[in-house]
Amino acid sequence: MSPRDKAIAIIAETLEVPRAVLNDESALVDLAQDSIKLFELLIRLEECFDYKVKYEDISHIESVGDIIAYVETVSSNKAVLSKKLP
Amino acid sequence: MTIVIVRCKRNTRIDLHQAGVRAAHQAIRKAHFVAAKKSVRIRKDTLGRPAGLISGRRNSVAISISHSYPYALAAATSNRKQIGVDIERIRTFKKKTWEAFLTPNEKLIIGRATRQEQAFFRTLAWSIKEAVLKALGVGLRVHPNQLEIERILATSGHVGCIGIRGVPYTADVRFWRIERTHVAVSVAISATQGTIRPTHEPTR
Repeated sequence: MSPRDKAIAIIAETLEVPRAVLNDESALVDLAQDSIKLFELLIRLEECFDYKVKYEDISHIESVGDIIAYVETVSSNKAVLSKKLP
Repeated sequence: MTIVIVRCKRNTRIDLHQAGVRAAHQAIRKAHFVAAKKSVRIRKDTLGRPAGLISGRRNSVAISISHSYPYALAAATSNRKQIGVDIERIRTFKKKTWEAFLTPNEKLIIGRATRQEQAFFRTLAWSIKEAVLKALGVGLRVHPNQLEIERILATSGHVGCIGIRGVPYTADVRFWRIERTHVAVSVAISATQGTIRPTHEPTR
């Protein structure tokens, strides 16, 4: 599963919304019932992508597309790092 | 600080937003003795926080808004304080969630409560942290476990000490349980020229 598909699956499951309503422009504050759900989403993303989210780096994240771009960057950075490591 | 809570008939984002704005208007008018509805406007400040404007007055009014169906809560202040409010439905969090937002000391304090009370205290803890982050205008840009509110949880006091990344601040924290289903929190932190200052030296 690509990082994009994985992120969409996590967003749909955590925020309890059908995948069909998700698109890159969907605002997270409109999808989430409350801030706790958004926090749970960050925890799930950390688990699934095995990455510690730096909260000060995610201030720009407002939409589903922003989350996808973020996890794609994280995944590609991890791939580069794992190639470099012996 | 003046706090207004209103009931919202429908559980839609637009209805809850409008109820929040209505509550904020009422809070501003009560806090500043403004009779005319039209004299009050609400806009966002440079940090994205809502702020009230009163016709003929130069300074904006610090306000904060929160909603959780069927309630919308708003606060307005008449002095130079940074304020934040939050209202949450009392819930049983997933273990991973509360473990992530509570500090070790907060977990200890809440762990001493009965199982039924734990849901309330965990929701209260989240709500206080959310209100503090709103007052500071940072939202989830700071991890909630960077805030230490163990002294407030331990004493249920109104004026408490909040640690933010190890630096203690004095804050006026009030909370109410609403109809056994919700908890509402207000936080006021002293502000000087738009920035908060620690009241003591760092403890660690």
